[in-house]
Amino acid sequence: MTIDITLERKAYFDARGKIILSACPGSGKTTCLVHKLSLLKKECLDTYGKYSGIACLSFTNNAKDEILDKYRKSYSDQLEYPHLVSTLDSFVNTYITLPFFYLMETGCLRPKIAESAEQIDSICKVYYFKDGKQQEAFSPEIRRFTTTSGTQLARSYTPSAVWIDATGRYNFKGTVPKNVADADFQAYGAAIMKIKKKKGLISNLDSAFFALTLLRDIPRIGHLLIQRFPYILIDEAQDNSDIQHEIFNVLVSLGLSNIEMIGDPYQSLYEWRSAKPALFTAKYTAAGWTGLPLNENRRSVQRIIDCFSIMRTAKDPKINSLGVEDKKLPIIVYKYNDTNPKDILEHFEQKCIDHGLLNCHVVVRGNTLKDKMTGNTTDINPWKTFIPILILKAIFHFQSGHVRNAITEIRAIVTTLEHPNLSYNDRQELLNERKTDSNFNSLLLIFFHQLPATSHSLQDWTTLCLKAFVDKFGVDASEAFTFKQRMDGFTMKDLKKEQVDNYFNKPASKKANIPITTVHQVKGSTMDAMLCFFDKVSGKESITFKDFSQTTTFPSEKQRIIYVACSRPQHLLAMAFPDSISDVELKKKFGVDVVIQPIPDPAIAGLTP
Amino acid sequence: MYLSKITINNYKGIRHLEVNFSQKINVIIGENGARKSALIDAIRLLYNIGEPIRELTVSNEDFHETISIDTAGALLIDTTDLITISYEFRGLSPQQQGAFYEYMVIDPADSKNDYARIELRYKKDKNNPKFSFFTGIIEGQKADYNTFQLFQHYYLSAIRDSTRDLLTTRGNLLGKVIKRLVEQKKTEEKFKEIIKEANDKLLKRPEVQETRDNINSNLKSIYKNTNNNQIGLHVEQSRIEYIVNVIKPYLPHDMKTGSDEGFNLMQNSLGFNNLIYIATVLGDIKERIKEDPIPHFALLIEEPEAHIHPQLQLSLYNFLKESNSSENSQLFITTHSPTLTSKVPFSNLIVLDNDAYTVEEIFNDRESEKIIQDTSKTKPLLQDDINFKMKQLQRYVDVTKSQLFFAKSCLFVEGISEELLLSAFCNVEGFNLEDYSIEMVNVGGISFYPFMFLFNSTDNKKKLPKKIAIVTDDDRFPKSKEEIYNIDNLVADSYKNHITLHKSLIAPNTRNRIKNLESVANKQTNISVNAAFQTLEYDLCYSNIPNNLADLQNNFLYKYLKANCADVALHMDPYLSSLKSKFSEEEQQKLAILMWKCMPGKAVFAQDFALHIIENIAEAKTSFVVPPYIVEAFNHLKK
Repeated sequence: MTIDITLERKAYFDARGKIILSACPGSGKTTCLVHKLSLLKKECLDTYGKYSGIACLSFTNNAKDEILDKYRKSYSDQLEYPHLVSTLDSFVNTYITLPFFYLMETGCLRPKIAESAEQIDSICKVYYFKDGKQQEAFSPEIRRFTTTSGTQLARSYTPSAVWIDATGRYNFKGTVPKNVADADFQAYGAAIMKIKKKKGLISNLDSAFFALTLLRDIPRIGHLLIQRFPYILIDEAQDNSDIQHEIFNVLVSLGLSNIEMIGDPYQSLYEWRSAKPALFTAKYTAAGWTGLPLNENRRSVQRIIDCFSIMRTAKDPKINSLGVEDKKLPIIVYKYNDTNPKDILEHFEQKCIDHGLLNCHVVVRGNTLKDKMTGNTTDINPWKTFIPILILKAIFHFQSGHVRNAITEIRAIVTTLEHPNLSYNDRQELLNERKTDSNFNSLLLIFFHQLPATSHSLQDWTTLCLKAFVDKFGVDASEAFTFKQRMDGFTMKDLKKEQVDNYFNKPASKKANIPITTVHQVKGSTMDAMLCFFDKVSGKESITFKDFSQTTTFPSEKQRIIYVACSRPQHLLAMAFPDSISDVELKKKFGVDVVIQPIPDPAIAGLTP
Repeated sequence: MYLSKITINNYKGIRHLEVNFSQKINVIIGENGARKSALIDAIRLLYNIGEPIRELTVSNEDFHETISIDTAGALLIDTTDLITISYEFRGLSPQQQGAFYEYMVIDPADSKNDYARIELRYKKDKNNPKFSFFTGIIEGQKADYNTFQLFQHYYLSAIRDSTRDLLTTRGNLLGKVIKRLVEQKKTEEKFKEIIKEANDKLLKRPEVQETRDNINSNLKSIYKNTNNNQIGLHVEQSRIEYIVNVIKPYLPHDMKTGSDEGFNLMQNSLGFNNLIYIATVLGDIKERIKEDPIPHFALLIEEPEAHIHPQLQLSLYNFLKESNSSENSQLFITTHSPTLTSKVPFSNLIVLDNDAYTVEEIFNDRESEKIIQDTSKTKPLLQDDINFKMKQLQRYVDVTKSQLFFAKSCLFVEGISEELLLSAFCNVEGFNLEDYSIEMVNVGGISFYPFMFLFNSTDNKKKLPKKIAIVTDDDRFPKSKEEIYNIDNLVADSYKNHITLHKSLIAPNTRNRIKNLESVANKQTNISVNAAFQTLEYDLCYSNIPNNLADLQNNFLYKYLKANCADVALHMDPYLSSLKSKFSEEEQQKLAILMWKCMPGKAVFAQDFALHIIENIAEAKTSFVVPPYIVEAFNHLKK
């Protein structure tokens, strides 16, 4: 495949050794990575033979698949054994922690990696029967730890969110709790770890810590691993945790000489999952490492680049747009209030249609606002349980092409309905088994077509759903589908006659069906146009006008979220701010060329008779 | 890197078996049904997984069955439903440790103990067994399937057709070897050029031209108006495989010039084709190891002696030993050939029986058993002494003695006379040694000790599970062989020396020979030491002197001696005539002494008398008595 090799790209392709590549948005990071892989593949064969390979590690399964896919398409060649394209977690698990866990003599030879936080929490509990009902309590091993005011630690600090750091100290989601004596909290953390080791269920984070311990204690493991993978490339390395960084530091000290960390510290969105982007930045200038930039943006027009560059520090080099066609579309700013968001959407949509922009997204921060806009919300639940809502969610996923997710969801629902009394862990086990049961899966796939259409009334849909469950699985779900007696603001009798579609699975827009997604979901992707909603009030989870500003040191996580969002579109960037922000403030921030679009559009309003 | 250990459970005839292998050559011996082939197949299973076409898989019939009888006398067949086979490899190079990363079992304390391990598991299922595997030592870990390519092997079965293997295109070994070299030297184009040149010449032959013209003129008359349909003829350019696959070995008529006229392999002897095949395989292995130092190569040969005469077997073995010099290739040979067995160092010799025994290991770490050989002192044997015994045994084991490894039980005797006589004696007792798969081992002297160490350990892992009997002489009065005790000197002087000899014989025994043997037997009940009171000849005579004259005159041995040696009539009969018709115990002993001293030389007697027994077996059965200590030995082995 032909690739446009500019000077900065050439510098990266030619570089060997310990490389840090800081790639700006739209720099074609994956393209470059894949090209580099093709170069290294040959080199690796010549230098290390047929049985040693490159480990190319990314953060998510999607990113991993993208690399594999791109490699296949670009070079009509597979990146297979002895090479490995995997997620970082899975690499650490399968090549370090799990094979050698038995050497740590914890009593468990090979633990399982927990798939969800609930699994960890559930092993830290005991279940018992009282008055004919199942009760639960925290395990005796952790029950005795309390805060300074005497409440159980496990209540305030759920076991699954107690993390271990590279030094072996415990914290709660990265911070040290203030209302508990440090020694107590450390003992609490150690007690949880003991349970996890004993029951053989650990989190990815624990696994990374054990991997680090193993590498430190038994250098042979590292030596062998380096023989097996003399090249390690880490994509999205800005999201590495301190432990993950330390793992690679140890490997480097054990002789790993070909390592590349690729990423953009400004696009780190996973601080809540212990990402430490600052460690990435520190390596950029660290001794022994070669820091290289990719500052050519082939995605967005300069206007958009300049806009999201507001978040960069003054010392950062300028990002230049390279070879992007400029449709001369100014940046649009909407001001929203309680009544006009729908009109804003429509206006944005029309703009996209007018300029032939097909791939457009509306981006909101977090799931709450997104759910509100898609109708995928739990605000209105006429049923007594969440099951019908979950079914609707699965149907929505199914219809929007996320078949795998949809199947996973409906599998869980059917299993829950079939075995209502199964404990959490037993159910997970059954689900795990069923995951690979192809007969059952095809049954589920067909089931989606047998579920009633959402154009039915709530009442009919409910009746037909119940029938489908009986017909297909012999399951009586009537309890789960019981309507509530009353709901504030609704007359139940009338509500039941309304179409399901009126309340659920509402498409965001009737015209172009622009998807409404969160920033995390659009990370890494390119789109023609994007509309980003900013929150009104500043809170823990919100992004506001105030966050859209320059820092002197390193952008905050909120700023990085805005940075990621605004660097997606190619041609049209639109932002919606609360109408409390004045035009002057907006112009001051985004420059005089920005178009402040009043909604409803006075131009159109004037035409209507 | 080499396969250091295999552990097999429930595969074919094997319920449980652990075998340690040596780095280079392993010669596996044992009687039929000792599960040699099952062991070889168990090794092959691993090496077949990475093959494009598998020669061997596990089927539902391969699960081990135990047959037992319950209290009611009914037959119980217990079939297992899980076969597990684990393989341990040691001596990995650093590169191999990387390639086998997922297989590695690490000893944090000492990297010398690191090894690579894989376990294959077959679970019984409706149609075909379900296969799974794990690498390392904890279940759940799986190396990439591609790593099975790292296990390469060549297999020559017991019933092989080397001629066919050399000549057929599929699996053509010679072709593969040539192709590999062509690829390595990048000379593919040269080959194609040569073929093209030859093909072009062929095409220019008038026969080809003529045929083409014929077709074209026919085509022309079909199409009439157009010339667009004319054809040309060419030889399709082959892939390199096809070119080299037509290259076959043959035997030139003129060996000096190696002319291309010669015998086809089909006209060649089977044995020689076997050798050609093995030579080709070894050539291939050598090239492949040069090309890629990571994979492990196993060369498995069942019964290489097939079609090959004994001297050539040894040449082949020496050749295999020398050619198999790479770190990464390992040889596994099964054999029934005593010729081969006798030449294999004990460190490479594995005896399959209830368990697998590497002969060398039987002698290892034995000092702790505190075996005393010289009972006059109490000093136990040191490991050095035992090592020396092994060296002696290695020297003693020749083509004939090596047969003991294939037998169920062994009868050790001092010399050829005993060998001849005892095989005749068992006929008198109504059986043949072969009936009980008893091997008679003539140690050529009295050095029984080195042999005994194969059977005398208190540790079952270091003890061949065979019964042995040692038949020897107490020789309590060695001076009996001196000249003064010649028959002439015995009878002279009114039997003066005769009386002295008799006194000396029945005097309390002061010698330790038998005590020493029994001490080395180490209280192991599989070993029976059976000694003559004095010597075989004396005991033979004594057991054939009945307590009365009539019976004596009817005795098979007496009659034989009387007919064959003059001394009997001359010296024994006069003494007899001085006795009453009923003999006392002492008289019987004295008669036995005379009879013994009348006998001709031992060797002559043994040869002649053994033949006499066989020719007159019916009579021998009624009037000949096999000495009781020998019968005891027989009974011990037959039990």
